[in-house]
Amino acid sequence: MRLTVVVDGSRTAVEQVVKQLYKVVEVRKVSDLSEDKTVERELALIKVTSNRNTRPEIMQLVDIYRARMVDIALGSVMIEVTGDPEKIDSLISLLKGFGIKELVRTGVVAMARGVGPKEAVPARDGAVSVV
Amino acid sequence: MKINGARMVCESLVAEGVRTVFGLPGGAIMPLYDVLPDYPINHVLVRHEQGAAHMADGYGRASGDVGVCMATSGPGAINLVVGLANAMMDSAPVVAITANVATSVIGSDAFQEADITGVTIPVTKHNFLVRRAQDVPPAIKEAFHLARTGRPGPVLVDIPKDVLQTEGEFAYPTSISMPGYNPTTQPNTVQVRKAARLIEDARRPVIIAGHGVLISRAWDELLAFVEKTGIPVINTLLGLSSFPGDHDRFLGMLGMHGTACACHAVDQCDLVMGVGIRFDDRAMGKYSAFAPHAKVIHIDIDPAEIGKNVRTDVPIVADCKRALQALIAEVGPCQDLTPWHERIAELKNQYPLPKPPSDGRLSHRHVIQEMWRATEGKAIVVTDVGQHQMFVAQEFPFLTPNAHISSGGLGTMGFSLPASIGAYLARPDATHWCCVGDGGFQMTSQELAVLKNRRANVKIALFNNQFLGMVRQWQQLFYKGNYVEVDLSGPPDFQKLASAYGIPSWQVEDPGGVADAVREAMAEPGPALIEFLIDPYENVFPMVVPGTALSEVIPFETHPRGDDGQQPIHVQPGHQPVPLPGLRH
Ligand SMILES: Cc1ncc(C[n+]2csc(CCOP(=O)(O)OP(=O)(O)O)c2C)c(N)n1
Repeated sequence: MRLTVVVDGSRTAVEQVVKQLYKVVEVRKVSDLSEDKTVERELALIKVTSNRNTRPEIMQLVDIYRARMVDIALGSVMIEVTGDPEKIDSLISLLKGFGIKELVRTGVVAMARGVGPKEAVPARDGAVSVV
Repeated sequence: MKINGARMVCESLVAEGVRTVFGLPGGAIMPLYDVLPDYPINHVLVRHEQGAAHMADGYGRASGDVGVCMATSGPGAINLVVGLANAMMDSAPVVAITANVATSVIGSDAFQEADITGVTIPVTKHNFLVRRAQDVPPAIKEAFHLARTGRPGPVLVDIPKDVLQTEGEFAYPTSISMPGYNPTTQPNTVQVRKAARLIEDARRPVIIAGHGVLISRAWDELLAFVEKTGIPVINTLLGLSSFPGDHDRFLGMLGMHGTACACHAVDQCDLVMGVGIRFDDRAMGKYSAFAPHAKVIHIDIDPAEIGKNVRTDVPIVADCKRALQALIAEVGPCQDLTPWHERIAELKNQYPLPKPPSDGRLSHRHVIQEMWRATEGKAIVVTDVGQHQMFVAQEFPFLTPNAHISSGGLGTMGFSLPASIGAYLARPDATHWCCVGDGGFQMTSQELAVLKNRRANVKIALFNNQFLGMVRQWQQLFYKGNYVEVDLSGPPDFQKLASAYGIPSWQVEDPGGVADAVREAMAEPGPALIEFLIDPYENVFPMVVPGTALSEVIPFETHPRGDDGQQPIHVQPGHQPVPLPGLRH
């Protein structure tokens, strides 16, 4: 099993988190991803108020964000979106205008990129992954 | 062999070499107690489970092997918790076995149910909830392995009642598989070489030796290293007795109530070699001003301690014994340390420990000095928490290794009496003293029954100053003498309390009577208690006031009553006097 833990802190604080995680007997390997180039993903389900008039507009946003409409009901639609946390934040803020009824997000999972040609994706601070 | 879970526990304990366990039965653990008499295990019936945990702790520290305690579900298990936390903070090897309600009702608030594995996550090194009888032996095997290896600590094994009753095939595992647990014991040679060069180059080095030296039983190596290099040695509280207290190179304890000489030496040194220590705040003074001119070598088995509190130049993650052996082999000729030795001799001269008053008031110092004389410095001394604990640390230079046992990290009042009983059962041939204040004594005095029943040869020095002394001292120094809820005068009559348990006792109120009482108590074959009526207003000095640097140590106070002829508080040139309300400078 592998967990991704996001910690907010200075270099030494993150180091201490890594060392403390190693003290947990079940933990085999801790990788500090803050210095690495990583891919980070999160999944969110968002239930948005909608009616016949607003639905096309919502569909358009869903399209642009490469999200998916996973449920359509009378007064609402449910959207599934994956991406890095910033992308999800920005979709949520756009959907707020329609009225968000329910929202759930998984938290981030992260993985270091392979060696070789690298895409220019900036690393975020403090992702630590625990196996 | 098909046996039930309860028998598996006993078989496993026997396989681990356990001869003594401390506990108290109850509903859920009855299947285990039912079969316990069939095994060569000596069970000590405590009067409160906290006592069982502290006894296991004292037993573990004194013997160097694991101490075992047992309790029933719910309240029994929860009563162990402070003792487990204490063992955790002080890295003491303890295995706790608790029973829980049956698996079918776990989570239903059944009678005497407590989620003890949940409760103890932060205060144990690891814990197990065993759900099947066949999992009992591997859990116990792993628990002992975890408790006694690496940085030792308490491990709890919780076994539901039905698991104790279920039969299964028993075979004690011969190996363990814990891929996530693999402590580093062998020092890295590159680091050892780097450390050796720092040591060779240092002109004013000090060693701060801690509990790790005792845990890894590295006192001979420490002594050999010091004989080879001439580096002065300072102890942390829990490091006391890892180095001979009468050695020329010994400077005493460091920290809030350490010797002024040790504090100044660390302040002035150019190399700190921390051996088996965690640079705790009580020992280091203000971190930002810690050893400002020094490079730091840090030897510890726990990598999480490296760099946690102070910056480290050369970390060595290893068992102290092996690290010291490697360093003894690696270190070549060092600088001439004569000027540094002279400087330290000057400091020792300049800052002796305060002398006990000679006006008839009884000081902790009178008592401890006499205790030291009577035992020739060779007793196992267990201390509680408070002023008396610091006075023992100052006034009892230990001459035998692993002879000082105290509650350091957690500072658990009530620790000493049960821990003393544990230490006695681990090393019955030694001379044992339990030093305790009138406050802490009342937290676990019920264990006097165990002391008596076991005829444990433990002498109790009860320092009765009629106050929660250390708190009173702080109220005097930092809260303008506003004494709130620290007055313990009045009941109980400790003489009657001792006699209620059939324990002979003495009461001493003047310094002249100390020696006789100590001698008479020591002549008793079993337990004995001496109540010393200490000057209620005696303060512990030297003192490094919280938030100040070691260099600002106040070596002694001008006694508030100003009648003992001592000199005023010494303040280092160039340092601001520390404002201490209630004290004259
Ligand atoms: C269980 C617990 N409660 C409270 C404290 C806080 N405390 C630290 S020292 C002290 C006073 C101890 O008084 P006493 O046992 O009489 O010893 P003395 O300081 O007088 O030597 C107290 C209350 C503690 N360390 N442990």
